[in-house]
Amino acid sequence: MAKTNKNIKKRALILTAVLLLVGFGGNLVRLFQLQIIDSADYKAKAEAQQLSDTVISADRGTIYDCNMNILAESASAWLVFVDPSRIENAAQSQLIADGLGAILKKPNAKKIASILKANKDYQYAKIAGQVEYNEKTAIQKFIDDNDLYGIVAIDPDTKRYYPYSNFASTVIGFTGSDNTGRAGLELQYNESLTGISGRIITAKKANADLMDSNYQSKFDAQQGLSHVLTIDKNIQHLLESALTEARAENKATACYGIVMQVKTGAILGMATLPDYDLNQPTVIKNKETLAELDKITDPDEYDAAYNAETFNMWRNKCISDTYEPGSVFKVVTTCAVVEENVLPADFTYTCTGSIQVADNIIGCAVRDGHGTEDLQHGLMNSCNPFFITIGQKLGAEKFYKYFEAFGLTEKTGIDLPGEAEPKAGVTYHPLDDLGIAELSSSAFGQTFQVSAIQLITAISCVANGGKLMKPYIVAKELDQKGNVVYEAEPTVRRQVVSEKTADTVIGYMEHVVAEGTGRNAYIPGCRIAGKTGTSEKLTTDGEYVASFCGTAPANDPEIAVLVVIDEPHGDNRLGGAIAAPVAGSVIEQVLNYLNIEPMYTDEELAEMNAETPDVLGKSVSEAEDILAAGDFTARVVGDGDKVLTQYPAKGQSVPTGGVVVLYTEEGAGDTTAAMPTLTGLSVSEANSAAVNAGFNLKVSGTATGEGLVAYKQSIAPGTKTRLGTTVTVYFKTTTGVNDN
Amino acid sequence: MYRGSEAYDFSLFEGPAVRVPARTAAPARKPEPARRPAAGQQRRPVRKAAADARPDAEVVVVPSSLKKAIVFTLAFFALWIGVLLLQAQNETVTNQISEVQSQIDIAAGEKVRLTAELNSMFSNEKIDEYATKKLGMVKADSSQIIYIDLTEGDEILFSGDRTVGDAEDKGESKLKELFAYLF
Repeated sequence: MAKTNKNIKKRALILTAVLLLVGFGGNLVRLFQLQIIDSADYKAKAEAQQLSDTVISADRGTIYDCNMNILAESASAWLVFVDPSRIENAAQSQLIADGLGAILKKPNAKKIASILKANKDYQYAKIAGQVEYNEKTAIQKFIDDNDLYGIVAIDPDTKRYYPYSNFASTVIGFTGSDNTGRAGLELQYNESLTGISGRIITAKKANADLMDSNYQSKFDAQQGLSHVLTIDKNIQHLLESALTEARAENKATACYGIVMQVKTGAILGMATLPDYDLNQPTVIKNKETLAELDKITDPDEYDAAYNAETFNMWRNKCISDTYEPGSVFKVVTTCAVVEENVLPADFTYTCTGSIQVADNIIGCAVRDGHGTEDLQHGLMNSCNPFFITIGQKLGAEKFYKYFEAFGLTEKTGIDLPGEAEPKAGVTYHPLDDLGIAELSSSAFGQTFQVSAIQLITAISCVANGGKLMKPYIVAKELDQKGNVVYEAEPTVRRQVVSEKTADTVIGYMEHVVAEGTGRNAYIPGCRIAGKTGTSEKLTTDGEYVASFCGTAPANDPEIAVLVVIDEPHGDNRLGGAIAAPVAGSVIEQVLNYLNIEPMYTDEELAEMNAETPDVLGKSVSEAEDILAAGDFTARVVGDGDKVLTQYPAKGQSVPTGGVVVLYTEEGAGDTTAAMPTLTGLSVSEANSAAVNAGFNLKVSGTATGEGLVAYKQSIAPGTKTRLGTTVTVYFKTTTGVNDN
Repeated sequence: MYRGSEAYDFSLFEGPAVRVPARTAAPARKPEPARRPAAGQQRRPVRKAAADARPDAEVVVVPSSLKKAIVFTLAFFALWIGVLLLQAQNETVTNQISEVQSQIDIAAGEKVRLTAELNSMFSNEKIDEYATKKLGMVKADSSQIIYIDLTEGDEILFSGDRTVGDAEDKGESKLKELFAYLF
């Protein structure tokens, strides 16, 4: 009996054990699978279910000019979207389209209706982003009034503001609807401008509502860094104004220019025209471009052409486009020749108007030739045969050495996207390809291409004592508290030529402006040293590029300015005639702005303004004698004997030989007169016209030389102007400025 | 045995007899030692006011542990309610902060938009246009800008034998300054 019980017990135990093993074993295996193998998945699912994750977008950094003027700034905006799957019927859909269209204007009701129709089975359809506060409030009211909760909704968004519209547009660039940079500095520095998004992680209740703030972890967003540029808003404006005028006057396809600080490589101004409105980067506003596009009838072709023109509009031609530098490049050849001491001290060359190179005859701009020239005069006259000769004397190897040393075979490294990369055999001749013909043509700046930034960097090198600098455009990066986290340092790439060579060549360049082909850039007191250029475009038949690159003041250069007029279609296409005056004007205004005092030579001082003497209370004849002694012209208004009022008043600065109006009666006669037309006149004709009309004439630009003609006057013709007022008239010549 | 089976022989389950003592009198106690009052302590006199003489009533004794429990429970509830109230207040204030923060964000956004609009109205281009076309102004050129050299600092000019700021002048000017200061 006892044995039977024992057996039963034993069997019962075994059965229990088996049952336990089977039952719990399965559970154990399942537990192992859930908690070890699939733990990561379930953890993620649990987190997704239990936690709410909200992204806090970081504010994009601000872009400032060097004086902390805001050029680009972001602000909160809103995004409007619809859940089309919850729209009950066609009437409600139309209500939404009409309502939102009336508030937003763009997209309009018709467009919104088509969006809703196209997305009718989806739960999300974006209607408009970057919606501003007023519109957002109106839309919220629309939702409340029409009980559209859950159908029309508003989410946070950001919008980028560019206060000055098309100011420095090709430099600053713009952001897309996703707040990422698409062009210019916005693209180049997108990462540092964007910052790092933050997060708010909150626990959720069982019904998916959020727990209170005690169950919340917040990770603050790291705002984007603000960028302070080297660009000066005022200098940029001076450059853009001058280029706008030049483009209109010369009916050019494009105009672009750069102002650089020669000692550091900092870019003070950079402009490309035509430009675009940064707040509407996809809208073409240029009338000529639109007129060309309107000729296309096929809609698809129109769209493709419109897009292509948009991309072209965004292009920063100063760094992305290359062109034949023409005679401006002769400065580089001159530096090489002087540094290598290739020419004897008394070297001269007689230009007869042409020169044979291999099987070709290359003509000079002056058909009869310039005659006998030394190096200085060769540069002043921009004589092609002269430079072919000295280029051949220099030799291919040495020529290429300096071509390379001046940075023309590599990118400058400027911190902007899309810089053109020089390609051997494509944009320039490599050493192996520099035969006699290539060397000869390269010596005077033809048959190869460089970008504007490369060229101004090379000329600035000469102005900077032979040191080649790396150009840059971002000076500092600031965090949201204004602390400087990065500051750019000027970088010297290499010493290309000696300081002595650089000083010598700058001296030659000053003569180019004072007496040579660059005379239209001459401004008294500014001591501009520069070189003109007129080059034939190899890529487009019959088109030219007119340019001028100058630096000032020549004794201690501070700035360099390059002006390029691409495909001019006006009366003249010479760099000396159309680009030099523009550059001269920009240099004068920039030097004034930078408070760099003009330094006048004795000859300039003699022609400068004189101070009006005091003749108040004197008799008319006495006053006339005093004025005549000071080389002024008296103009008497009224029949009285004594001078009651004079204009300009005593001590005012007027041009030598100017007019002083003497009023001898109270309220005597008309004190104003209509400004005469002075453009198109020579200096003497303009002076007579102005003085006869009762005004003073101030000559701007070069006042000596043949063929000077007024092309601009500071007071528009016909303007009622007080007698005795000084009108500034700008003169230029087309004689002796041919450098083609 | 029932039916002759040991299974029903209950005598097999009977254990040895156990004696259980009967309870009759209270357990014996050890006598308490006599207590002496501590130094300085005096026995509390028993007060018995004649006017207030009452007949001895039946006394309800509440155990001290219960009192403690009640006090503790009341304190706990008070604390709990306090915490709840503070939490509710915290929640309200947090919501207010969020709302104000949201308003600040909106205001900041509007500020940027309005500043951009204002700056665009005062762009250099617009200023130039207004100055030249509306006001008839012209830009100053180099000849109209006078440069004053301040590199050499202040100078004292001497005129003949008399210097500017000699003792007499100095004294006179100082007196004048003092007079002006006092009156």
